[in-house]
Amino acid sequence: MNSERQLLIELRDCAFGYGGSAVVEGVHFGLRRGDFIAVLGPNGGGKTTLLRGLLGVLKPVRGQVRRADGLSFGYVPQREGLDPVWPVSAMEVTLMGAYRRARWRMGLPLPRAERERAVACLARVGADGLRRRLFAELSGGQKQRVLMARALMTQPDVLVLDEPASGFDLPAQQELLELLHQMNKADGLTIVMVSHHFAGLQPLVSAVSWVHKRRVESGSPDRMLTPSKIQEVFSP
Amino acid sequence: MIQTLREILAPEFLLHNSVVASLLVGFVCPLVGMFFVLRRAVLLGVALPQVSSAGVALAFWLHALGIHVLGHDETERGTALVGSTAFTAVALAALALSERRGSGPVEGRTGAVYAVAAALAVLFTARNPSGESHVTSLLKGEIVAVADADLRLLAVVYAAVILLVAVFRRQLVLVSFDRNMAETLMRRPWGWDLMLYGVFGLTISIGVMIVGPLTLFGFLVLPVLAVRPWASGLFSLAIASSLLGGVTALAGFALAYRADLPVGPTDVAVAFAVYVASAGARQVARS
Repeated sequence: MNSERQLLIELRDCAFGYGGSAVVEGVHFGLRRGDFIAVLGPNGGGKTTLLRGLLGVLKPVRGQVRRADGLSFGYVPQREGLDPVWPVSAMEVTLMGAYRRARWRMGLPLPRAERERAVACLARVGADGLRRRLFAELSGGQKQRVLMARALMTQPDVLVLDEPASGFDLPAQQELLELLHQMNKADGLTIVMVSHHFAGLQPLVSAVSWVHKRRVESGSPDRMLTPSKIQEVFSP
Repeated sequence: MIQTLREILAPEFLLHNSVVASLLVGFVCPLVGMFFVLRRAVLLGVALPQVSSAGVALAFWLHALGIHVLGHDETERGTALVGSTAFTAVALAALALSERRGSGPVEGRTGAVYAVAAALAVLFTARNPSGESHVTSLLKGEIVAVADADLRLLAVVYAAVILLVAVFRRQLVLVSFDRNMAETLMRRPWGWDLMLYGVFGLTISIGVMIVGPLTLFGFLVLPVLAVRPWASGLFSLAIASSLLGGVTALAGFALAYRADLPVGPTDVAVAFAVYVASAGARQVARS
């Protein structure tokens, strides 16, 4: 079944890092259309570095990266990285997802269709009531939804989320996972999610990649989320 | 006060060029200063005008020594423009390069640039045989004596600044607000950083010559700080800061004219009073 779906990204024996030295190495990774992959591991293990490599923002120190032609990403960054000093409304943040399409408009206002699309994206993630609110004044969960709406605005092939549930309590984490699961199953969206939480993931994701001790190990959720595997990853 | 405003706004007013120059600086600087404030680079907004001033002081010193960068028929203002632009461009390039290499905290580098620029401005001025007071008054910004040619230059450069910010605002905002997202959507996000630095350089190098570093910094930052707590979005912040800058410039000029005070410091004092009033009103509104 898996082999019938289009291969979007393939990493072969890749190493990613900074200044020529690898943070993660020996990475073999494949992402197919319709996958929902959780990239898990302890803090500081190199999950974000791997994510930047997948996005193409970071070039591999070694190895080979293949991406499908014209592949587009909808990126949801860690919300704590966005400075609350910016007085941007949720609508303005969502519309940033249209900036690539609007790059030749040379300062002209965005077309009405883009604004309607932004409203639809906000509605898709249950944030349509937040349009006029300042992004900085939203709760963590509301910010996360707005950032997801912005990522959807890019009309991506792959939705990439960096620690979306960080700082959430368990019910909020579960609610977010349910929403992502829905987007994966109902909308057919391919998802890669970096997280250091793994509770409740097993029935929702199609694969799990552990990033620990500079290596990446991937497999089915049944195989990768066993108590012994989790103990192995988190043992010193 | 109304009578004073009528007087200074009349086309036949002796200092008409100075009023227009003040208004241009007041309207345009907050549009650029918005990026200094929101990128938390206010220190850069202090340092760059000082760097520009050091360039002006060096150019005047060379001019007084008979060394003419633009040939023998160059004017004092032309010399100042070359010095101001060259120093600002070099400082911006050095800061941008060190930022890309990530060498040390950015505040430390910017502070060091400010300190050395302030010291150089004093040293170049002290060595100038033309007289310290003359150069010092130029560095403070001779806002009461703006020649037609200077006003035209200011208008053209600031029109270009408005055009660049208006046309490329989305790219400049994205690269400033969310670097990670910009990297996934743009091929060369650092190119937009470079453009923004270019806009900073243009605004500052010409502005320092007309109004001096103190006034320029005041207009870059204070109107934005006063408006930001009330802004409901970036567009409203830009428009309201620009309008406030213009109104402050006019009120400051009128007050300085009426009370026989230096225009630049009066402008800054008025802008600061508005900022304090805004912060106080915001506190009351929240309580």
